Amino acid sequence: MNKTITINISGINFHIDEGAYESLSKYLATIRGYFSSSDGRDEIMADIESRIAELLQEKISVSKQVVTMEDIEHVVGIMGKPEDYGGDEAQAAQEEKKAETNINNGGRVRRRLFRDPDSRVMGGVCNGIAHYLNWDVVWVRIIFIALIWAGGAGFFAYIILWIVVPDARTTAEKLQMRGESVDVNTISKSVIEEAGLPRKKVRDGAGSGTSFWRVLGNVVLRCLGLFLVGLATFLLIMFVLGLFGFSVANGSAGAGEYLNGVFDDPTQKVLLYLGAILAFGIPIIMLLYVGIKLLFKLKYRNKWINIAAGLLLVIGIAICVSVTLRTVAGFSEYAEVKNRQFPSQPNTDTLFIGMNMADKYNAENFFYEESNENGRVTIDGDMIIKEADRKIFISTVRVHIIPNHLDTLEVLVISSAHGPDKENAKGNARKIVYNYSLKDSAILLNNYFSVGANDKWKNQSVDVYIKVPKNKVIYLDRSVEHAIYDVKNTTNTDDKDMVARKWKMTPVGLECIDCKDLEEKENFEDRLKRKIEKKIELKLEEQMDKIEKEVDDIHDGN
Amino acid sequence: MVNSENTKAQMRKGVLELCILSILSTGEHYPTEIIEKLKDTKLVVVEGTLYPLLTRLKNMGLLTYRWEESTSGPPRKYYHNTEIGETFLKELQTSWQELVDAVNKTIETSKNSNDAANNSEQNIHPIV
Repeated sequence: MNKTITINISGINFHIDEGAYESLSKYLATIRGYFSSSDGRDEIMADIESRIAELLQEKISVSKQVVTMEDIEHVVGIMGKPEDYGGDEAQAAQEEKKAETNINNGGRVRRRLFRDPDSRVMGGVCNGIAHYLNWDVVWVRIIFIALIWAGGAGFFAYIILWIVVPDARTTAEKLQMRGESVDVNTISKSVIEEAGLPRKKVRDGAGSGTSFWRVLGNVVLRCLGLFLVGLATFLLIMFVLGLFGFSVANGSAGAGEYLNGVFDDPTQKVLLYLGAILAFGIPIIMLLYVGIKLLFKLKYRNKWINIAAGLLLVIGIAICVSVTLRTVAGFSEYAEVKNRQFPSQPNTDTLFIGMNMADKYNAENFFYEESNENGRVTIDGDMIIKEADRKIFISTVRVHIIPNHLDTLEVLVISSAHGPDKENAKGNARKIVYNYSLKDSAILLNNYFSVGANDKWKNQSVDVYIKVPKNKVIYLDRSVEHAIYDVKNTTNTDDKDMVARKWKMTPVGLECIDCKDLEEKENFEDRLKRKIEKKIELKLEEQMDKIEKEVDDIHDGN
Repeated sequence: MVNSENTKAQMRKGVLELCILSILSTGEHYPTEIIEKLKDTKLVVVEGTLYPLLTRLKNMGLLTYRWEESTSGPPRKYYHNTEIGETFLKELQTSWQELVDAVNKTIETSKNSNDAANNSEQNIHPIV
């Protein structure tokens, strides 16, 4: 009874005796040792193997299913012994080489410098040098490491040698590396020895390669993988935080608060969350996946993962786009509601215009940016504060001061809002509640308005037009500095410079009546210039007079 | 005796290319057919050595091949000459003819003179 092995030669299965298998594989390995890859070794070996398969096929039948030692001997008889291969092409070349080296070294075979892939630590450079010099590899390594401290010379020398010195790939090259002569006996001996080596080493050499560039490429790919994993992790954390609004450092509200403020329908919000998770989450997950694959050199490939990821990404983007379009459509129409009031006419000459600073929201307005606490959301520059019965919109009120053709004071409040259609937009605008007060000839404004507790942000705003009759004098308090909006005046003074002054209404806008200091400042240069010009003129006249007088004197003398 | 094997091997090597190209100029053949024809002439004894040679000639562009399914075993490579191969073959044939003529002539001449020398010895004999 013999143990048999199943082998595959040129795509055909054979059952073969264990002994016959040993003999055949040794035979093939020995032949292989004769050729270098530049001779077209793989092709030659494939041709030989397919002929062997053909010959073995003839030898087996239904009654004889197993390839035996005799069959292998028969094959070798037809194909030729390993020596025959050397006899023709390879050996002729090698004999020339041998003759040459014999002359050079007086009978000793010349060693050649190769990198040794079989017992390497990095590129096998030290091993190769050790073989070449016939030293112990330890000493070579110590020298290289010592040279690293000599300005990095050891490092660069190693890299250069790694690039320049070739790998000992074939058996013949390995023999040359060790300085042994290359002939049938040594090749077959070394092939047998190699077969006894641990399998891992052989696979290492064949699989990953020891070329410097390949190792460098591996290192670069791994670094890239690490970078991608890091980036993806960072993005994932930021994404989750942004989406679910965990307070990070400043306690700002998450996306949920904004969406609650904007969407009428809560399903819209859920849909947008889903879309956002798919549209942003999928690319981040894929980044992580690719990074991990690169980092750990995983060869795992599954086209379904890519297809599913692509599909989910498209769905996510589609959801985001559709929700966005629907939301934008909800803002497509604009409507205004006018509310005209003729308050009791102030009884003093000067009308005071200021903010109602007793109201806490007006007081807060000046530092509202810093009070971004929970329950407060800023949408498009409007701060929204939720209260039990209403929603306060801050900083969306503009105060205009314009002349009135009539002889009365008039306050016009225009509320505006957006909506999916005119009716809706008008309805939204009507919900706006804006208050101001007039007492003792002072208009006290608010810089906020309110809507119902369940009303959403519809880009609402309020414009207050204070129509002042001609020749009426008003005083702008410092508190309206941020509320007044591009107020027309005769001196083109900026809004921020208009406060804390008295103004008189003229048909073309306000005219400042206590701006002497401002005017003086503005005209100082002009006046200085005029003064100097006048002085020069006077001096010139004086001189002319003098000259004329002298001329007259001369005439008189005659 | 001086090692004549090496010399013979060198001679065989030189003419082998010419023989392969000649065989393939008659049509397509796969390696085993080529070897059968060569075996008759004792130029190649074992098959294995033919494969490196065919690969080399193919890489030089003198030969090319196509695959054909085989009833007994793996697909076979059917080789034939390329145009370059045919030109190359013509050149080799011409120089081979010249070489054979020259070698024959040399051998003939030396043989004749040897014979003449032998004859003269034999001629001398009866006189003695």
